[in-house]
Amino acid sequence: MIHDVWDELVALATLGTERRGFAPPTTAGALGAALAQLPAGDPPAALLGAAALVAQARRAGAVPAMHLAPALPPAAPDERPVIGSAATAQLRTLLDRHHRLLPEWLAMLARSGRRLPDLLLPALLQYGENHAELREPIQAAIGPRGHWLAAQNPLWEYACGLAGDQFVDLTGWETAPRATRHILLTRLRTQRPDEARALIAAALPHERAEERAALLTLIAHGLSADDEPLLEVALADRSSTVQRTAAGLLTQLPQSALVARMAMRAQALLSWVPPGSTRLLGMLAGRPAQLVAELPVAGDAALVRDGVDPLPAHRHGYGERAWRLMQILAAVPPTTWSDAWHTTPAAIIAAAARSEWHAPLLEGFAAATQRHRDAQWAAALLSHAPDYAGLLELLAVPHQETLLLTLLRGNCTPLHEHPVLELLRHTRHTWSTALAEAALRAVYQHLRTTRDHRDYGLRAALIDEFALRLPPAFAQQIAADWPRELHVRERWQTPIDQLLTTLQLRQEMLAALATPPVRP
Amino acid sequence: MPTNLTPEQILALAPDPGAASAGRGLAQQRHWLRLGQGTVAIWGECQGSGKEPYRVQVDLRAVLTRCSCPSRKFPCKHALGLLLLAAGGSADIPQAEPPPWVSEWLTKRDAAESPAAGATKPAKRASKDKSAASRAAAVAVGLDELERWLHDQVRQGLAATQSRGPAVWDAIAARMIDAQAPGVARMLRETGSHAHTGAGWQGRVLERISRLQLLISGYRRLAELPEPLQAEIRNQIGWNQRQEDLRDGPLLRDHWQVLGQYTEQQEQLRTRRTWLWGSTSGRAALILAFAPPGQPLEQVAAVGMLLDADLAYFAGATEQRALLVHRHPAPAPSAVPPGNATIDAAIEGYALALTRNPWVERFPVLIEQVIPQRAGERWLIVDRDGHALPLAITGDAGWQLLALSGAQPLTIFGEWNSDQLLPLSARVAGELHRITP
Repeated sequence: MIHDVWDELVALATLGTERRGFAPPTTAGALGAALAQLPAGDPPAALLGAAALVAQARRAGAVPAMHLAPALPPAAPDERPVIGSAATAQLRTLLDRHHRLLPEWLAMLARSGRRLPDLLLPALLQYGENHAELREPIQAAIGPRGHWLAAQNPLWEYACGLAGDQFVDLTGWETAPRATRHILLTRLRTQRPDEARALIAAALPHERAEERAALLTLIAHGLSADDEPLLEVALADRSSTVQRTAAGLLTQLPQSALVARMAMRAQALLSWVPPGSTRLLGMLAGRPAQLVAELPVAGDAALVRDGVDPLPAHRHGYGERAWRLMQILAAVPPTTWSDAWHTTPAAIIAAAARSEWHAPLLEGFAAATQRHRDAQWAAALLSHAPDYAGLLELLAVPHQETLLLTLLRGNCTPLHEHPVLELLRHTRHTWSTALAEAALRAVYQHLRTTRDHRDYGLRAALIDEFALRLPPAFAQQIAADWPRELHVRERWQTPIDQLLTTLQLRQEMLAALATPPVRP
Repeated sequence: MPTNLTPEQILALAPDPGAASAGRGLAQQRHWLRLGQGTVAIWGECQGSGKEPYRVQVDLRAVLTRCSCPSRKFPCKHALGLLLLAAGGSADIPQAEPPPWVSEWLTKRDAAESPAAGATKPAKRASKDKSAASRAAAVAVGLDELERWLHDQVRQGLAATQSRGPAVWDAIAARMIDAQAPGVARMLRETGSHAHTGAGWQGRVLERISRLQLLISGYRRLAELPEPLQAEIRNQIGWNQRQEDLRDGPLLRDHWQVLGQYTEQQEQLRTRRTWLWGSTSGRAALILAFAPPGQPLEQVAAVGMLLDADLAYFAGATEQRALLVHRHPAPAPSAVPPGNATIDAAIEGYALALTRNPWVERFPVLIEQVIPQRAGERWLIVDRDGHALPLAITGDAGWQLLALSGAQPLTIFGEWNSDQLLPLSARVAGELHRITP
């Protein structure tokens, strides 16, 4: 009733008393009595007076609504102690601007046996929402409270830590928005891959090229030989993007027909002449092994169908046929060659380097090594030419360190032109003391002797990678030892300061996570 | 006296993330010279980009900082760095007698906080009376004009007012500035801002102009009204109460919990509201700080701090706004103030305040045992009776509350405006967390 009275007043005020006139509303109770006492006569004054009374009564008498929706199930308890205030403040700073220290911080947190403050969970989950590369450590760090929270927000699906046998509800999936469909399919794919593949296969004919490619990408989760038939069909897709997506997935299956076709093509192009063999050039005995390569013919439609890009945007200076050779080799597991020719990767690489077509051969081998994650070939390629820095991650950490130490033992100046710098930049682990010392020696040597102003690559490396990979305890030593000759200081004070600041921040991170939380 | 602030609270004092990060970088002993601490202050010299090191000092009683650097940020990165260094506990800050540049500043600050020396000269007082009388007359004339204007709007209908665009509200507000009634001008602009906010604007506008009418009527019969209501009406119209008078008046000493803080930008002015809650008195107090754009806002205290301080309440129908007159050294942590057990109880307190002061805008509520929930894009809290209050927040703060609660009850503090609750802090397991809406 009071609301009816109020609505009546609002309607009157909106239209104006001029048109409708005004008589104070009547209602029961104390409000009615107060309204009756208002002076009549001047309609606007009476309306505003009545409105003041009723509005006030409404505000004072408002009753909170009942909330009938069922409450959420409570989050599971987490008995681990929460990190201290200093560590919390650091995490805020990291989320704010020092993103690149987050992976190490999360790893330290995992070792500390503590949990995150609940208040920071949303910011961290949101960070993972936008940075897929950190989703795994984030999902591992957030604990039961974080998993519970992530389950309340569809955007944080990645972190809700669903058990593998959790039921995936597919009701209405055909009409669901694309993003939701992708999430559902991804989940289904990890639990019941066949069912997910069938859904994707059924959906493909009705989708536009872009979505067809996106759906095929989902097959990468739990890719297996069972997926081959579907991918083979997709090779005939009318969109080249879809074709190449399918081909890319098929090359990840070493037993696939596509890989076999590529191997056959490659074998027709390459031939191995063992050392001292006289088959081709019989006159010269003791000749080293040779790798003889022919270039594929242009305009092979079947090759394009198998995912080879006929006219690439960047051919890195290759001719069209050399480019095709490189692409074919990139799809063939490198063990094919060592097995077929009964020789070592090192011998093959040495021979390839002597070939007229050394560039497409070596690059093709390197790409194949990367794709098939072959550590033996990676080691051989890196020892021959340390330029393929991307292969470093295929080696075990001790092996990486040995390789880097060997390279650093030689003369590395100027460091910015030496391939070891690129390799150091590609490491992902905290360096051993020996490697840190060797790397710093090379840096100091460079600072003292090189005056090449194009060495900004080294500046960037100091700030971006050395700062993250050196053991933090080296901060004091670097602060004391770095060469302070005037000409060095002029150019290097700033990057060294930045390096030291990051190292100190990492030292503090360690200390803050190591000390027990102190409440004031 | 060591600082009892946590690094998080210190970073919360930072005027922006840049200062916070720069402050962190300076929280390393290698940046500092001649560090020292005394009973109420810490100080040190920080080597910056200038030739002379900057002199940085902090009055720990109030977390007031001063630095000789040219930065217009307040507190500056040097002061933040010094506080963080002290809070970190690893630095070696010797006990010492403050050097002259510190002790002079402390003495000056003490003098500024102590009651104003000497009474106002009688001659000045007389001229004050004269100008007060002329202002009262100007306001009376202005409010008469406003009443005629309001009646015109209601006569022709609010639909007609709306069709003339938002400028009409600014025009009448400008007239009220001329009439020396800035509070009324602010209310008019606020009302105007509701006239173009979509469905239901008519009700929002009518409610506000009826409150203005109440203020006009109240001012006409000012002399007949009880003293606190007179003061309230003068506050609402825009008279400032003299701080010297407040300092001389009755003071309330208590251990004040800092429960909430909110900074708002309105009309070329930044306003920071800091809510205190007396541990013994159970009373709430609102400390306001104002600054024009680009000027630093005084940082009274950080959420979660406990202050031992003398406050003077501004006169009014509901005593809410207060002046921080004097701080004593920070006390040991004490019992947390109890809140309302239910939403009903909290709303009842608000209704009671309304009966004394119809112009209450924001009412501080502290409610225990509520569970934050999400309903579509909206957020609410639900108490143990199943009653719900809508929250005036969007995603970020909502998720923060949800994360803190984990669907378990928590205690919430916020500002209630009869429509929505603006949550400013939440307490879980005895620990207060600042919510940033």
